[in-house]
Amino acid sequence: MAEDFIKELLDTLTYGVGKAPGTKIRIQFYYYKGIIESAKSYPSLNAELQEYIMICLVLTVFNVIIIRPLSGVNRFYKLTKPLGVQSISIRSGNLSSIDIQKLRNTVTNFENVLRQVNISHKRLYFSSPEDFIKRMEYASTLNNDMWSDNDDEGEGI
Amino acid sequence: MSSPYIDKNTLIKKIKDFINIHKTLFLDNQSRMSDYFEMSVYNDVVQSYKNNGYKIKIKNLSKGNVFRYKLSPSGLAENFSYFILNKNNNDVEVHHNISTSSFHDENLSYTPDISVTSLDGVNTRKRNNGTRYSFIEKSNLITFFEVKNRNSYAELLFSFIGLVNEITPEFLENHLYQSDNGEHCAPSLVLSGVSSHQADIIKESLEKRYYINIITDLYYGQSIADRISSLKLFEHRKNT
Repeated sequence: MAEDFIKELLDTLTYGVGKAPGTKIRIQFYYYKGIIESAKSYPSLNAELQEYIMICLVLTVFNVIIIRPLSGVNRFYKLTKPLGVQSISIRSGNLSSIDIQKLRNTVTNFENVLRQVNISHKRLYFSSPEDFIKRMEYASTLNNDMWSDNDDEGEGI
Repeated sequence: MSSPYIDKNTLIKKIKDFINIHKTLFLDNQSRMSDYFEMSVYNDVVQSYKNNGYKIKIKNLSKGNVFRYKLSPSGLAENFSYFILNKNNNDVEVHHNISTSSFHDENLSYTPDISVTSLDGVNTRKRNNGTRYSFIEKSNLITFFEVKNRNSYAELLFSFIGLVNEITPEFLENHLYQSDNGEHCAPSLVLSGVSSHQADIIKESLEKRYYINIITDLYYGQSIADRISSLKLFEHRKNT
């Protein structure tokens, strides 16, 4: 059952993002899944917690491959806008302030989806399998009332 | 679909809605992801100087205040935008994809992804066949960043040492640059993905032997600007 849900989530997240990014998400997910499953502390976790960790892993990989690049453009625009930059020209075309606003909205909407299921986007990074497991174990103990940006680790997307 | 830890029905529904709403944007941007990664790193490098008190100016904005990003080695520097950073009358420039010469043989050149140079550090020259190209004199190059949107692996790490040896071999003399007040990152390899265990061992060994940074997990972890305190920095390469 847990495997089915992970597969459904992975399918949902890779449907509609394009073939190359979708494939990359799948490859990276299964790569990290293997690493996490071979971590010492993983087998002793209950099945529901293991599933939660894998859900967070799917979301982390999606965050890393799709959302963070978009966020990088936003950060660049934020840095350069006070210096008068109106748009950015890259080899594949121009990114107007409207395009950048759309990228920003996408990032914000993803954060909002996560917020609704009580996951902070700031937790979605990977350092080592043990650290990831520990961080997600901690995250699983938080409820909505306790969730806040202040208790997050790492940097935002 | 119950779980004590997460509302799975809500998650799937919200993710489906999210993907449907933004599907066009994802498809339009799928080929740009590597460009966006390079932009992120360029941004991070400039941001790390800004955090260190440097004032930022942009040169060569084109008509309509468009920042023209140089995402490939082709094209002249004067046709693209770049940053000038100033602190205490010390100006440096941050460029993208401009060639520089080998330290050992001026006939050999290489194009680092990001270069930090002294002021007016880029010249445009004419080849024998009349075509022009932009170039960083080796005396003007302060440091450089090689950016790869991938996981680290042994060959990539070792080949970076070859680049450092060709462009800035003095950084292979680890003891030369120890400094508490460094403002420039030592030559750095920046990778979006994570390291395998074997790559971690290689990274540790190389960083112990040489005055370089191998920055992995950029998308999975902190930005360069946020992890600057843990990186190898130096003051002025030519004066130390």
